[in-house]
Amino acid sequence: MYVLHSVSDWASLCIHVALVEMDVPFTLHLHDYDAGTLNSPTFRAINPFGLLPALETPDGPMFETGAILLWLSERHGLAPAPLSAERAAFLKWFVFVNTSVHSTAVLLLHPERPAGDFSAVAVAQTAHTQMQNHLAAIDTMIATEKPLWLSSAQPSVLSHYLGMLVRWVVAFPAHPDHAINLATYPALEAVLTALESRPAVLKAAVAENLGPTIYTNIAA
Amino acid sequence: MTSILRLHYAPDNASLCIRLALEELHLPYTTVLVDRPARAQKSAAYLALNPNGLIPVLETPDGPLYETGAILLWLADRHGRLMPAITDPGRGAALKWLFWLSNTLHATERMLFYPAQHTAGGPAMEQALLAQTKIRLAAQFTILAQTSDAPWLDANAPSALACYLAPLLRWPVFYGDEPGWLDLSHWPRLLTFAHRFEQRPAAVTATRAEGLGHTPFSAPQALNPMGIGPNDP
Repeated sequence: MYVLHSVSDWASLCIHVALVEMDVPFTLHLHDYDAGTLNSPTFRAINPFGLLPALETPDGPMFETGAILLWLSERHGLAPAPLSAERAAFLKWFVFVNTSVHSTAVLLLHPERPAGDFSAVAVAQTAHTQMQNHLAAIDTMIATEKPLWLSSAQPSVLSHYLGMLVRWVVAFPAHPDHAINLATYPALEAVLTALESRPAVLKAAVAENLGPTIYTNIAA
Repeated sequence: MTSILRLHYAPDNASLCIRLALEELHLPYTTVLVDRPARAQKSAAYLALNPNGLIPVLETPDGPLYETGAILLWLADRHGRLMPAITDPGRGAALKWLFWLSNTLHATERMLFYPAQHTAGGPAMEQALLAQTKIRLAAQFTILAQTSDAPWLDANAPSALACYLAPLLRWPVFYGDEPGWLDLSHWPRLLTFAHRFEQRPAAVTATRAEGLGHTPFSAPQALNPMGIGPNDP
């Protein structure tokens, strides 16, 4: 039995969707950020950095969104098998989404984090440019390589991860003029539109009090 | 017949992590020097391998691979060494530290080496970013040095995580801000790791190939004081 440490609509969302999609039993441990439970000794023993998501597993506590998704996929599916020919391409894009899209999204949403309010606008501007480059690279890859692991045909841990990050950069940038327009990336938009209506996504969305189109239309 | 694995590298760049792993695995491979001063990593030929224009790329029978963490994991799983197997109870902890090295420690160091890439605000803001980044990097080393679920940190055994960490202990000593600001002896466990790792035959072979000196991780010297950084901008 897994325990997912989460806050509604935080990075734990993609793990939540993946667990429902994999149809494995888990419980949600909801944190109250304002109450400071992420700084409690109990939680710091699970993740010394005090960040969400964290997943308690029979093999010990895990943190790092990408690591949790990949580890779960190695046990319960939703990614190319480790010795398959598609694994190389899948892994490079999965790690790219983790190191580049996820990190840049955090800067777009919280540009004050690296060096305070003083440089927040400059950091956000840079992140906005980089995010457009990252999403363009992914859109081109989907259109030209048509990988099954990032397609309308079947879900993967990568597509649910990317769906959540797209949600963030469309709806939540610190400066509204840095909001990403998903229509600029039609191949990516088509994949996420198909995936967000899956029963697993809708189920997780209801549990987190989110709307019916969580990847592409946050206002709905 | 061409070599099965081909590493596109620049000395002391992130490709060093991959060279270390290839040596640990005793795999045959060839190398292609990427001419960074000529910005060859942004050439059409290189962008065809990695559209992000970053070093390293490893050409494999399954296509060109990039992202340091992805290459290390793929090599380890393909050869059944350097990472706990998928069914191993230590797999989860190894994966979480691999991703942490990639998106936190490595990413923090990139801010240190290339502050202008992270803020469009000019020199004053770059200085503010550098100051904060140094504090964050030291805090990250402190938490890593205290962790109880990283057996690879204390073992004299081949490890993808060790191949990733060792260069990350080397680079910030002299790239980014004034050389010598970082003293690894503040973290005795990490310094011990660096000493042990640089004596492994694989590390000796890989660091000699890139001209990194005799103590490349415990007491590193800059490869090129003219400002060529450890990671591709």
